[in-house]
Amino acid sequence: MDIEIKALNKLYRGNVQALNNLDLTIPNGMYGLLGPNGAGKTTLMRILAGILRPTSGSLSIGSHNATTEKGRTAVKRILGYLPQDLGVYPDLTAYEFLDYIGILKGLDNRQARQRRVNELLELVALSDVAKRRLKTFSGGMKRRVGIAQALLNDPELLIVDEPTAGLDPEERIRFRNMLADLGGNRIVLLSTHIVEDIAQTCQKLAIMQRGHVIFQGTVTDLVTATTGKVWTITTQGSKPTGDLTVVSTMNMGATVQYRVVGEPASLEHAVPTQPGLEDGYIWLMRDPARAFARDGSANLAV
Amino acid sequence: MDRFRYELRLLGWRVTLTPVLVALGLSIFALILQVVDTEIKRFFTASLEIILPLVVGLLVTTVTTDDPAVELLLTMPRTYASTIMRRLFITLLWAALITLLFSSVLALFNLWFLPRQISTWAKPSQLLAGQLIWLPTLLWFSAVGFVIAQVTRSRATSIMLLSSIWIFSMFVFGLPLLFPDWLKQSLYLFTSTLSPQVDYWFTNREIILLTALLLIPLGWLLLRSTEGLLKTASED
Amino acid sequence: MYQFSTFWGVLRYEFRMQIHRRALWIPFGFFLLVLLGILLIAPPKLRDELLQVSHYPMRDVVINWTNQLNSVLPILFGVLLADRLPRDRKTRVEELLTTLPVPLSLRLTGKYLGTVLATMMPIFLIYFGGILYMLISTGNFMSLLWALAAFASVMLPGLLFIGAFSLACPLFIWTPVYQFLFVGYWFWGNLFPPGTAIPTLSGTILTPIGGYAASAFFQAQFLANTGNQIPPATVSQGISSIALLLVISVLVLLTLSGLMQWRLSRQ
Repeated sequence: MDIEIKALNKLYRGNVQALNNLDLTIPNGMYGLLGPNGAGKTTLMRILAGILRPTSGSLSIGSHNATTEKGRTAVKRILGYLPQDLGVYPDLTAYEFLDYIGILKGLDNRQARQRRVNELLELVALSDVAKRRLKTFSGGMKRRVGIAQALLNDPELLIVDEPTAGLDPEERIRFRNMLADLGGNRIVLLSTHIVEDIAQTCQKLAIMQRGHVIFQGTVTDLVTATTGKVWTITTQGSKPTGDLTVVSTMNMGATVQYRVVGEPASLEHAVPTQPGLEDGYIWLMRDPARAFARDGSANLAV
Repeated sequence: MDRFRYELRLLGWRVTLTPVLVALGLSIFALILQVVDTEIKRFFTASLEIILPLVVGLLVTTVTTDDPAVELLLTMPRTYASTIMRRLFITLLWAALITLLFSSVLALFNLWFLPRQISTWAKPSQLLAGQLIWLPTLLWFSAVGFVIAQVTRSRATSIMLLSSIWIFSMFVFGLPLLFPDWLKQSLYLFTSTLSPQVDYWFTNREIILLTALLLIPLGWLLLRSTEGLLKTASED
Repeated sequence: MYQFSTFWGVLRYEFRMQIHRRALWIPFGFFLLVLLGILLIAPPKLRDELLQVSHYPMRDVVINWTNQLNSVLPILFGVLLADRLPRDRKTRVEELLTTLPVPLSLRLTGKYLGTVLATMMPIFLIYFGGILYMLISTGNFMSLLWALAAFASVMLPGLLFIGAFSLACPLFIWTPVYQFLFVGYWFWGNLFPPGTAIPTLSGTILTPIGGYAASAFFQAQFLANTGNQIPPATVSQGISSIALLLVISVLVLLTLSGLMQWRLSRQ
């Protein structure tokens, strides 16, 4: 199953253009969606989930035309969705919450539903607290309940919006692995502004800025495009100058080591460094048009 | 059935207990009135027609605006509108059952004050027609509360507006000779208590009931604007 | 100086937050609509009686207008103020606020005055809108002076009194329950006719509806809308009524501050 998005626009009341002629193809498997706050990621996710209606453009999810009411309803049957700010009913237990959402997802066979709820509680390691009310859960536990509810109907399309925000490192790793496991036979769309999450789980990604897709391709494409643009510069303390962005600063005592992306004014103390996805993202964000000028990549959509 | 059980559970004690507690509280207050030798029949009619409908209306505004999982529910194949309509229906059904029980007890012990148009009827007919004291107002406040809640998407604003309508209804229609009959017949919410002698009581009740029944589908239509549903008023 | 600027800052922001609420303007707007609607559909004779203010002594017209508004609008005022403190907890701002170096009493006073003033604004506008009409239709500038005096002595003390209770009580009672009880209190303790079998505060000097001040300073005889007779009051009774309302307001705020401080110390 693929998702095909063409010339998609979303104009909110008050003339706020959240999506601007957006074109994107999302294939089966794990797919990352990166971008700064306000880039339009959540709006795109909500349109894909059938919560918002696009102002114009076409959107097909598998064989369904998701711009029509009929298509949206059909998509909801194959959808699992974990919103950025998951609201839960605090007085229900984890088990009850999942059972209730299962009912709303149309899992009408009581026994099958209960079996599925128990399986998922096991999967997200919440079986031992299944009978505890959600108001007593930590942020990480609620997130796990969130992913469990998204999987209740064994969805062909799983959309997760900022799933690891606020989680501790251990929870985050656990969550990433869980998502990667799920990505085998369905579309898992992972939206985040945490670059590391995508680097660890997705082969393919799109980057959004101001309602556009400014890049779509593989992680390797993006990293390759940044080769020769990442440097480590050690100074006595003075900040490196030039057309660059400082990615990290490490105080080494007598000297300070900077990792920069761009073109330093002087290469005297600069050592070329192997780029990562974060460097690629920074390089792209600095100037999307120039980032791919060298190879004129067709994936670039500005 | 499972879904019904969960919806009832989610509505919680505030919906199940509030009408019961209000009816009990009013009965206790009536007992005090009785002890100090005050006429309580009118008080009970006012409880049925004026107080309980407002309480239920306020509950409806809360139930239909306040859902922490709204974004998730909007992605379900069972539409959010149908979920909220179900909750509205359960709230109304429960409140109506309690009020019916309350009014039946009052009728049984002849503790309510009846409008002139039905005051001379036989007991069973009185019991039946007497339900029109509270049913139209209860549905009217619920329907108006429901519509206001969907338009404003703010619980605070809805509660204030519904309370204002209630307060002004108490004062405004009491003013003598001010309103033409057609207006009183269609908007005078508390005729049974404040003007029981009028000869348009039945017409008034029917119009109010009909208005309420027409407003509920309007609220349902407003529920279909998902963009509006995601905007929880920050002032709440 | 620091304390004053902090207090002023709290007051300003509380005022701003309350004044921007839709919930503040909609009920008063609705009241205005009802008022205009009444004038529009009232029979011509009655409309003339209501609008031709020049036929009556200006003092009586002003105090009648004051009493009319003061019998209804304080209900909205009290209900609107009731969610201010619980909101701090609901929005999880309370935790942050307790970490700040501002004394609690200062924060509370700023919050009280800021929200009370903001909530008073629509009442003030409707009130002086009516006074402006009187001024234009009669050209009598005394209407302004009477209005200022009536607002300060009849309306203001009652509003400050209600404001203190509406800020304090919801910290201990669920807000909707307080709102419900407050409306009940208003009918029982202000509009309910005294002298029946049921004991009531109505008709005593402890009524925020301002009957004693209206009678003492403006010789008003009836409470608008209810037809309740106001007991003839002397000037000293009028002053006592105002003083009592203000002293109780201060006591309520002091108690609130003390209780909140005590709660914090036990956390």
